[in-house]
Parts: sequence; C-alpha cells; structure tokens
Amino acid sequence: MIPPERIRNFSIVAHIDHGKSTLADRLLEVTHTIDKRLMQSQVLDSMELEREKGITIKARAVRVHFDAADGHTYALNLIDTPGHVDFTYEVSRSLQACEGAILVVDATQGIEAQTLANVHLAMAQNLTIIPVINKIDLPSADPEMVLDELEETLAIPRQEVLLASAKDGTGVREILEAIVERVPPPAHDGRAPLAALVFDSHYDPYKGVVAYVRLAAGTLRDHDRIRFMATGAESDILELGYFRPQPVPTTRLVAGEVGYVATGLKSIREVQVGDTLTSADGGATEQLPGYQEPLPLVFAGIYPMRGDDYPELRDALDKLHLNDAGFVYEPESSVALGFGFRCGFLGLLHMEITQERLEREFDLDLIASAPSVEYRVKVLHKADELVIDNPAQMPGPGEIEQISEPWVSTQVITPTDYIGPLMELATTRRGEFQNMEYLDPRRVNMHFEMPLGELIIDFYDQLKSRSSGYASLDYSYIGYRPGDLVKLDVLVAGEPVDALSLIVHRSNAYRSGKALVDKLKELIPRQMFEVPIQAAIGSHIISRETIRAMRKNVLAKCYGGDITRKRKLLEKQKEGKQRMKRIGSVEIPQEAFLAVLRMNDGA
Amino acid sequence: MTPVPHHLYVHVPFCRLVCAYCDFVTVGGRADDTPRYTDALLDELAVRPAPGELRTVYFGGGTPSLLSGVQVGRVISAARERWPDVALEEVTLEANPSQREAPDWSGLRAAGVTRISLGVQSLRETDLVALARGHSASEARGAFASARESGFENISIDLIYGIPGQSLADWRAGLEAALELGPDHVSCYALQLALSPDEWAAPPRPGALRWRNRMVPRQDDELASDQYRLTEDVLAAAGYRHYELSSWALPDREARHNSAYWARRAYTGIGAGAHSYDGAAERSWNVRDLDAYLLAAETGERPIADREVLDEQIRAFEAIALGLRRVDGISRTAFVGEFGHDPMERYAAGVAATVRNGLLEVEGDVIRLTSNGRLLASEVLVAFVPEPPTGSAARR
Ligand SMILES: Nc1nc2c(ncn2[C@@H]2O[C@H](COP(=O)(O)OP(=O)(O)O)[C@@H](O)[C@H]2O)c(=O)[nH]1
Ligand code: SF4
Ligand SMILES: [Mg+2]
Repeated sequence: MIPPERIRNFSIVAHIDHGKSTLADRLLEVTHTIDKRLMQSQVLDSMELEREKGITIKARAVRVHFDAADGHTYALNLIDTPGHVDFTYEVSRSLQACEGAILVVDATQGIEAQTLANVHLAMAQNLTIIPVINKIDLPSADPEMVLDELEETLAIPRQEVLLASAKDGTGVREILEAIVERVPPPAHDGRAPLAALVFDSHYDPYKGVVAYVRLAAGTLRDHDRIRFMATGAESDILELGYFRPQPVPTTRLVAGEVGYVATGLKSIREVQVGDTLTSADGGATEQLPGYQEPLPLVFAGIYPMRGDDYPELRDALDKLHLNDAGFVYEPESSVALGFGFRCGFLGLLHMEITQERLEREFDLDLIASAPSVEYRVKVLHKADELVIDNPAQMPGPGEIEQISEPWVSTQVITPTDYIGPLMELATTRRGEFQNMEYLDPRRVNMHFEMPLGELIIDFYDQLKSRSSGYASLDYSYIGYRPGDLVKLDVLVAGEPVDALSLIVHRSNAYRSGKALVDKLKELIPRQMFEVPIQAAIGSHIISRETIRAMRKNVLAKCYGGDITRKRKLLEKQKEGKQRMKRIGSVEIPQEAFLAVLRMNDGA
Repeated sequence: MTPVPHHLYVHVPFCRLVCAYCDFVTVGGRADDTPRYTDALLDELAVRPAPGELRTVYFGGGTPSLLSGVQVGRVISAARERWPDVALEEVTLEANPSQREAPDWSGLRAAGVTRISLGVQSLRETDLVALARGHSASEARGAFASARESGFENISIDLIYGIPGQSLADWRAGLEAALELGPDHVSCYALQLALSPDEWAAPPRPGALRWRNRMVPRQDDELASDQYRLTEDVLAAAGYRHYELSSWALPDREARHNSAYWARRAYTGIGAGAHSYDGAAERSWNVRDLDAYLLAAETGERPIADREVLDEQIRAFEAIALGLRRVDGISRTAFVGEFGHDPMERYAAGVAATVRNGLLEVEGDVIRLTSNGRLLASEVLVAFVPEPPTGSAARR
C-alpha cells in the first residue's frame, strides 16, 4: 500500500478546448492506467454529449500510479472538473478536494476568460498551481506570448511554466514529476472523526447514489454507517472504492484519499455536492466549509411537441433529476403550448444540455419557451415579495411597486480590435462597464455588470459573432437589483398568448413588441376573419398589426377523376388544423410559436 | 329498365414540353411512343370490364392532341366494340393550340370526337411567356378557328388567372378577347404552383420547382379572388351559366363527362396513372410511370397501381365534396336517400361553422356554397372531412 506521503490530489483547469481532456488521456497512458491499445480519446468524458460537445459535464476522479524519478511509486488522484461557467460551484468543490492544479493554457490562444476564472478559484483554495503551456507542436504556437501573459496577469514566474503537447506527449512526464515535487501530500489525520467532502455524485440504478468523496480527516471502512451533514441523510455503505478509471472496490479509504461511496440512497438530493460525509454516530461536529444549495438561475417552460408525450416527458425529467441536483422542475400549463414543466437550470449551457439529453436519451421532441430569470416583485400594500420565474404570472402593472432582477458580473476577454463592438453589445444589454485591463498589448479583459436576463438571451452568440469568435466570457452571480421592468404581453385577436409574454426593460419594450408582432404577422396563416395582433404593457397597446382575412383556397382542377388525391389533400389540411393551437377562435400552427420562441434578435 | 350510365377516361401522358406549373401525369419528348401507347391502351381496354352503358369518352392529358385521328379512332372503336351497350353523348379531347404540334382536326372529327377542350390558357402574350406555354395568342386563335372550320360545334377553352403580372384589367381584357372566339364552354383555373410534396401528383423537375419558388411570392390571393369574381360577372353577362366551381357553359353545353365525376357515377380510366371508380365503393388507379405502364399493359394485365375501398364515411364525404363543386349544390333528400341521414344533422358542426362564416347556405332542400364559399371551397370541405379511422392517427 502507498503511504499517505506519496499521495497527490490534483485537478486540471483550463479554458474550453485548451486541451484538458487530451492531457488527461496522456496522463492515463504514460502511467499505464489504460492500455494504449484500448485508449480512445477523451476517455474521461464518457457521456455521449460530453464527447460531442467537447465539454466535461460530470466530474471524475481517477487514481493513477506513477513511478517517479526518485525511485518511488506515487498514487496520483486526478480529479477532472466540469468545464463551464454554469458549473463554477462544482468546479470549486472539486478543487477543494485537491492540493494542486495543473493550469493548461493553449499556446496559440493564450489566457481566456475561463482560464482566469478557474485560476482564481484555485488560488482562493491555496492550491499549488502547475502552469502548462499546451499545443506547442502547432506551428502557430507562441509560447513566448503566453509566458508574458502568465507573468503579467497572474504573476506566474516564467521558470515555473512547463511546455507540453498533450497531442504528441511532449512534456507529459515532466508534468507528472512536477506534481510529485511541487504538490504537497494531503494532510492525513486518520484518527480524527471522519469528514469527507462530496465533490460530485451520480445515480446508479443498482447502487443508488454514488458519492465522489475526498477524505479530509478520519478513515472510511466499507461496512460503515454514514451520514451527510447538510441533508441529514444516512445509509449503510454498499460499496467503497476508487476509479482507475473503472471502479475498483476497496475495504478502506484514509484521510487524504479520494474515492467513491455507493450509498443505496434513492435521490441525488440527499447527496449534494459540497456536503460533508461523516460517521452516523460520533462523527465530525462541523461541516467542511463552502457548502451551498445549488442555485438555479435560468428558467424556461419545457413542453412536449405532441401533447400525448406529456407522461413520457414527466418520466424523463424524474430520471434526469435523479442525477442532477442543479436542475429543478414543476408542472405548469400554457394555453399556447399545453401541459409541460417550468424548469430551472444553473445556466444557459446547463439548460441546453438538459434539453438535449431529454431529446436524445428519451427520444422526445420538445418546445422550450424563451429562457427567463427569477424576478422578485414587490406588490403594492403587501409585505411579502413574489418570486416569479414565468413572465405570464407577473401581476398587472397597477399592482406592482417594484421588480428586481438578478445581476451578474461578467468578464470578457477579447483582442483589442473588438473592444468597440463588444462595448456596444454590452451597453445595449444594459451592461455597466466597470474597467478594462490589458493582458498583453493585443488583448484586454473587460469587466461589466449586467442583468442576467439580458445575458441569457443570445448574448454569448452575439459576443462570438461580433468578435469573429475570439472573445471569451465568464460570469458570476452578484445579487438582485431593482429595475424599470415591464411585462410585455402579446395578444392575438384580443387574447393574451401566455407563452409569449416577456419581461423587458421599459426602454426596450417598443422594439421587442414590434419585433414580436411583425414576426407573428408573418407566421400566423390567414383565417376566415381579420385577426389583430397586438403587443401591450398592461392595457396600453404599444404595437399593432392586422392579418387580413383569407380570400381564396380552392382545389380548382379535377385531375382526370383523381378524387382520392383531392381527399388526401383535404385530410392533410384537416390534420394540420388539428395540430394547430387555438387562441380564442384563431388557429395558430405550433411552428409559429416555435419560430417566435427562437427569434434570436433578443426581442 | 334504363341501363346504368358509364364513362371512359383515356389518359395520354405525352407533352412536347412539360410546363413548369404542370401537375398532371405526363412526360416530355416521348411523342414517338404514341403508336406503341395506342396499342397498349387497346390491350388494357381488352382486359377491363365494360359495365353499364357507355355515355362519354374523355381524352385527357398530357396532350391528347399529339395522337393522330387514326390513333384516337382506334381507341374509340375499341371502346364501342368492348361495351355491349353504347349511347355516346359526348367524346371530348384536350388539345394544345400550338402550331408546331397542330392537331389533326379533321382526323379527330372523323374519328368520332365531338367536343374539344382547348388549352388556350391566356390570350395575353406576356402571360403565355410567363407560363412558358410554347404557343402564342395568335396560334390559340388560329387553333380555335381551325377546330370550328373542321366542324367542331362544341368547343371549350381553358383559361388561367392568378398569373404573376396579370392585373384585374388584363384578366378582363383576356376574358373578353376569349369570348370573341365564341366558345361553348369556358373553364377558368387559378394558377396553382404546388410547392410541397404533399401537393404533387408527380415530383416536378428541379428547374420547375425553382421557377415555382420564384413565382409564388409574386402571386396575390386578393387579386386572384377579385379576378374570379369578375369572371362570374363577365361570363354571366355573356350568357354563360356558372355550373361548377371552375366551369361555365352556354345552355346545354355543360361538360357531361366531368359532370359524371361530380355526380359520382362509374367510370373506367385507361392509360398511365388513370383513375377508375366503380360507382359504389372502389376507386383504383393505374401505374403512373410510362414505361411501367407499357410493359404491364403489353403482358395483357391491367397495369393497376393500387385500389382503395371507400367506407360509408368516405362515400358520404365524397358526396358532399363533389356535390358542393356544383353551383346548384347538393340535395338533402338525395343524400338522405343514399346515406340515411340529413347532412344538416350528420355534419351539424361543420355546417354550423361554415354557415356562420358565410361560406355555405341552406335553402330548403339545397345546400350550396355562397359566392365567398366558392373561393374558399377547400376551407369548407375540410369541415366535412371524416375523422381518420382509429389506428392510422397513431403516432410514430
Ligand atoms: N495540436 C494539438 N492539439 C491539441 C493538443 N491538445 C489538445 N489538442 C486538441 O485541441 C482540441 C481540444 O482539446 P480537449 O482536450 O478536448 O480540450 P478541453 O476542452 O480543454 O478538454 C482537441 O481537438 C484536441 O485534439 C496539443 O497538444 N496539440
Ligand atoms: S400542356 Fe398541360 S399536361 Fe402538358 S405539361 Fe403543360 S400543363 Fe402539363
Ligand atoms: Mg474536455
């Protein structure tokens, strides 16, 4: 057995695509954890979606054995962190399980927004940072520039930086040696009461919730009874072990080690990231620091395309929910979209991933309403605040004293050429410019504060398109602020269409209202009668168009007695009508709602 | 006992050039195959039953006028021989008024054709160019005159409205010019540029689809409906009776063959893609592909593609759908006689909705479309479409 002094716990942090997963592959290969012949790329990203999107969604922990130059064998625990801003909290919990972090920076790109965000998280935890400039095999690699950036922005001395190519393996041994030399072994007090940090978990249909833990103190044995301190859940351990990367059962884990605990618990909510695992009796008295309830920030209605898929959608949400504590849902219904669920997500990417998993893993066709944030509404003459995550539920303007909305602090790293367009983008989204630093003569880091509601509607796409793809973004939640917000309703033939209601800033109401009305005019087919379409704030109409009545629809020709074809066409037409949604007496094709909901000009 | 009337449709799927808006079963550049095709028609006729009393024959296309008088004559004689009972009232042939494919008028006359349906489409050059019809207005006038001179007393012309670039005044001028020819019957069709596969009888060539895509945004339904209204006025003033959605006739010049479709009488269709109806519960149709048709017919079998058995619901629906095409509408007592219920009860919801919207009117025994309803006939008929049988609506 490897003594605690020869254990190293580390993780890899990087901006997306800088080579984190590829480097992890090489580390597994060099340490013979995975046979080279069985190696597939990005082994740790096992979910199909992770591979496809190139992002790590769930954390992983792998133990590798490394024969270092000093003649000893070390046990290195690689804790792979999720790679996106929506999962910052999960990243910080994963880092808490480590003493060191490899910071990977792409030699052709330099520092990006999430490089900074992740380094700051790692520094805040006092981790030893091993800076690595990756992809030096590329002809366009400019390690000198990156060395300058690291020195200037992060005060990292040039001599500490390793150069590597995760692709061809250059420098990978050196990285492993640096981990051994520079990262301290975990503190190990095997006799103190058991305290283990839960840094991730997943649901397994046979073993219940499996918690990924790092032992801060004490010893964990495979027949212990355990308790989760924040949630109070207790269970007998079904299995204890570590990953290589497949699970390897073991009889005990000691302070400093990383592994997994199969709990048999049925809900992931009982085993939350950041919670402390201890013994059911005589355990730790204090939780490890930093636990937070997951905080959904982005909300949307999710509806089945076909009404009869509602039960399937509900089952699918129940299943996903088992495995994703950051995701919440409750049933809602909409006149336009039927029965569905209002869902809360950690962020936009989380929403996108969840929707894609529902569609793929459960074979559902879904419609999502425009994403919204959670508003806090002070109603006149009432003490309590309302919390509104569905614009349709906003009270009328006459009843509202004040609406507050969540704000985020954002950092945008961009080549200097795009400062102007990005500044403009941020200000049209009500961003408040804070300051700007030069990372090097050609790149800057701009800081803004802006309403999250403005950020979640296609801000990231706009940022990418206005910077030819060069700008990168990171944001973090900073709190609620009051705003001059109004609810914009869309009325078809005088009836409000709940799914299309929006909360917008008063200064954008007219533009958004007009865009919605114009789009609907284009998409709603003519009816037997005239149909007015209006956008309104309360009873005040701010935009109006009219769809004229249909005048002509005949199947004129008789194709040599082909009556069947005519009937089939009419049947199709009828089917189409039946699929339409009815707002009052107006028939609206579902596609019209979809197109409006997908309108990407931020209306 | 009077024999049951029967009707024969003969499809001729050849055109010199295939029009970009065309929605019929036809092929271009195969006119050399007409002799072989005529033989195949006779082969098919020989294996088809010949029930009832043969009252009309209709050569539709395609361009039936690409056949010679002799070829048409062989088909007509074969039909006369095949049917034990024959009392021909009308033998129609569709003709294209192009000089380059000038019909064999006297030959057709001699063969027994009594009525010509001439594809004039428009007497305005710009329309003919827009539609790439391959004939000019003066050729159309010439063709009409030659047909008359050859002794055809009953000539119908087809006209198209809703052509991009054709104003209301243009349409009026075209209609009046057409009336100067003195047709016995006029059919006016709105230009329909089917874009979606649902609507295609056969997939158009890619070029044709591109052309349609360019034309469609230039079409204006409001204008087209005004043109239709104007047609009703102008033709009524000229003494033509509006008797079917797209058809107007001088007294006693209604198309008898087409009327048989609307009256749901039995007909036999021969030729590629031709449809047949047994007058009761079965519709069937032939293979559409010309070569497949020829090969099958030559082996002495009916080149049938498929058949469909109509249940009571569908038959009742067809009675409504076809009956409402007639300006005189449907008779409630006749419907009760066949289906046992008054349509007012059977389709209470559909009738109520369409009457409320001013599209349908009920006057004593008669149910018919209003003048708005004639423009929105499809919308009205949708209200009568039976629910699909359970099972076919099941998903995935
Ligand atoms: N040329 C080169 N490409 C690399 C190197 N490391 C990673 N890549 C490529 O960069 C892309 C992103 O790498 P990945 O490991 O998925 O990045 P992650 O998003 O940080 O996990 C992939 O196409 C890799 O093949 C390297 O050292 N050299
Ligand atoms: S002439 Fe008639 S059948 Fe022939 S291609 Fe033109 S529209 Fe079609
Ligand atoms: Mg990755």
